[in-house]
Amino acid sequence: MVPDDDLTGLSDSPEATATAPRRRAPKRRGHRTQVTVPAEQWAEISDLADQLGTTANDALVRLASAALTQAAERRALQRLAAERRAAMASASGGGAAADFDYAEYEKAALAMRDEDER
Amino acid sequence: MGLAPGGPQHGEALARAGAGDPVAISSATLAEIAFGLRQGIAGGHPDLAAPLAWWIGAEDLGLVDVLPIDGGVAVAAGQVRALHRHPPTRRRARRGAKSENRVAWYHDILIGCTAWAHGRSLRTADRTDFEAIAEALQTLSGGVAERLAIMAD
Repeated sequence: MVPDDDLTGLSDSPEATATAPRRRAPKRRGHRTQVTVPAEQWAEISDLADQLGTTANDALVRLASAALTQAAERRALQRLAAERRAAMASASGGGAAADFDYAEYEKAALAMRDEDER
Repeated sequence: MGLAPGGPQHGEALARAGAGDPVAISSATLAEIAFGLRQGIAGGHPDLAAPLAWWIGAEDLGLVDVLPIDGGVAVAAGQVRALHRHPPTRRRARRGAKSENRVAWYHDILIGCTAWAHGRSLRTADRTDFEAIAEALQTLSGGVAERLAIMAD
């Protein structure tokens, strides 16, 4: 039975079920869980799933995977930046920079200034 | 300039921005780009106003990630400059006035040091000069940290 307002004429027809099989995500091994996704995000995820030709659950897993990869890359960049900066702090100035005694240096500079003013 | 619309890397810039991993450029590179575009506009090329407008909004829109010149970059750049007052290619490829070459060389030092201090590698068409900067950074950091990788653009 095709409703009057169905312009495609395919909604309940056997052809409709035959041409639009239920999407299935690729099989994965891992932890099974149930999550509550905010409605607006779910709508976006469903749109993305349509574009990718997969299920919303699969799109959600792919998004999580991409975010984890990016976070790992950011951590690697931060680690390398810190290593490089620490290496320069240690090596520049004959290794003195890392152990530089600021308080003692300031004290000596102030004493020298007082001496000059006298 | 290549990342802006019409440039050879614009597609890559958009794809990476869309994936949440925008292309990173140094503040010094952005200064050079803005300099070139403004100079062109002043020299009678009003069509360069559009790429300049793109660059002005690109960071806020997440199209590029602009790496800052912070304390670590500044300390590294000052020391590299002390080791290399002149660019290695000063007798060959560089054109323009001596003072302009000096400014361009210092910009290159800032660009190299920004990449280095932010844990990045560098893409450039000018490998020779940047190899000298990478070598100086290795010397200044005692050779213990990972060397600045330079890839041909």
